[in-house]
Amino acid sequence: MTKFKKDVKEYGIACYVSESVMKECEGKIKKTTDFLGGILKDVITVYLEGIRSPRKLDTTKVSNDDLHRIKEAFLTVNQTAREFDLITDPFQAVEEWIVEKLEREIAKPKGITLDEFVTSLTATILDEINKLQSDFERIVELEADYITKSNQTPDPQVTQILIQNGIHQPDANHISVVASHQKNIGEKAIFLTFDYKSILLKWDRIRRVSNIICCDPIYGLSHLR
Amino acid sequence: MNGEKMSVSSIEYPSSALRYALLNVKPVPFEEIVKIRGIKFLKKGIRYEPEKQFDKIEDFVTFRYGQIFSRMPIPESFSAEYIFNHFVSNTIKKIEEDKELKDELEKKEKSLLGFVDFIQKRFENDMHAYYMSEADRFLRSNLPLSFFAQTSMFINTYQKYLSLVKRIVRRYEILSSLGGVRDRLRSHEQQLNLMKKVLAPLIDGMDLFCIDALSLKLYVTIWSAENIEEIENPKFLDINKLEPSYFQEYLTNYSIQLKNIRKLIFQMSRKYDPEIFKKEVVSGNSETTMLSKLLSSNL
Repeated sequence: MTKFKKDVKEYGIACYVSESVMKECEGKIKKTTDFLGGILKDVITVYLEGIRSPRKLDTTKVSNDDLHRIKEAFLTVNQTAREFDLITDPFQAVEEWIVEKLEREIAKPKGITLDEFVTSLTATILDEINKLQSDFERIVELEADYITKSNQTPDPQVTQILIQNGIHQPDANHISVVASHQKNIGEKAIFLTFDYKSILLKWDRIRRVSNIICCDPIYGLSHLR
Repeated sequence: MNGEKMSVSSIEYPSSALRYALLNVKPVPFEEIVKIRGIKFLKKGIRYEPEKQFDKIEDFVTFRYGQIFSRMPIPESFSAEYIFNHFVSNTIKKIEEDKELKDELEKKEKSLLGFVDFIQKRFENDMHAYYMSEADRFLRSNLPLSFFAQTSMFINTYQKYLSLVKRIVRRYEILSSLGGVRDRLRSHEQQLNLMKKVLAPLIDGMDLFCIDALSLKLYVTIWSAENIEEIENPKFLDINKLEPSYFQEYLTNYSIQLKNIRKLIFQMSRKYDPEIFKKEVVSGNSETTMLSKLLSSNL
């Protein structure tokens, strides 16, 4: 992002975010938070307590054995949902984080209880999510960085064409705001995203049917010159 | 485990304390004899005294809970009067037992900045415990974690608020000490009035936010309580015991006030300290790495 931010400053590029993108981002943060909440409460707590012979989390200290319980939890629960693609699997990302945290606690001479461990994991998540929400608010809602909120709405005709050409409806809405912007403001506009899977790999098709250019921010300047 | 740390009433008094200590004071000159190495010196200075008789912190507490409970439904099995008295007396008791705060309120007669600094340091020292308390409430509930992420934004917001208040008070203290000795009282009066003018909308905004934060917390807490002994700290926070329309109303009011106060802090921080709204997520730590993976995955 550093290169693009430099371009914005140097060439005075106006950057906008549409309401549909803002809503999607807020939804993603909420979904991620609840996903983590579900893992902490319904998976980690349950497996650390033990299914066959439950133990008290507020009196049991963390130990190496708990790492095996975590391993079992992640192997068993939601196995069908796991993609087993270690780069994109959300469970793997959480598993690695929890194991790292637990190992750090086990290594400390004065061990904490499992109850304290799970509470502290949850507290860390709340703190981090708050920081993320605050950064998002600063950049988007309060327009404190280089992005301005766009008041343009999606162009229904362009949205329809994009959907007919295999673009997911939410993405079609995001992209078609560029068409509204060009039409109503009369400025050349492009759509910048890091979403390779659903948008950038289909950029050529999108351009052909809607005349809208979608690209990675590092190429933004090249399309605006 | 940590349920007590940020119990419902502890949201209450830092906000009232700032109103009491910063908005309802006037500067008065004082003279005292101080001894330095056995030699007597006459020390002249300015101290701050409460402006009006009414403004006792206890009055604010009673007024605040009155505002909250006048519109809150209470379960039939509980007495509304008992609950009101319980929270008022409990909060006043906590303030009375808070010797550290009392001492600082007395010291504030000498320096308003010192008082704000004390409130800020104490809050920041307790921030981890506040997050632990919210985490504990989540683990003892069937409410989603996103709800607690929303309520814990109070902590993030209050931290920013205190940084801003401190900046404003600091500016006032510097400016008021710039005048000559003869005009010192006048200079203090003028600067204090200017400071109050700047701080008043901020403290008012925070008070409104505190009311809605406290209302939401109390609504969830009281309605989850199995019996009267649990009204301050129920064993389990149960979403099924909440009336959806009331819960939604309290949550919406809280979210509106949260947005309002953060916007106000942001706008004022641009003049007094733009660093208050700086980037908070630290790239490269294990939490950020995990969260960025989750946010870019198809959950």
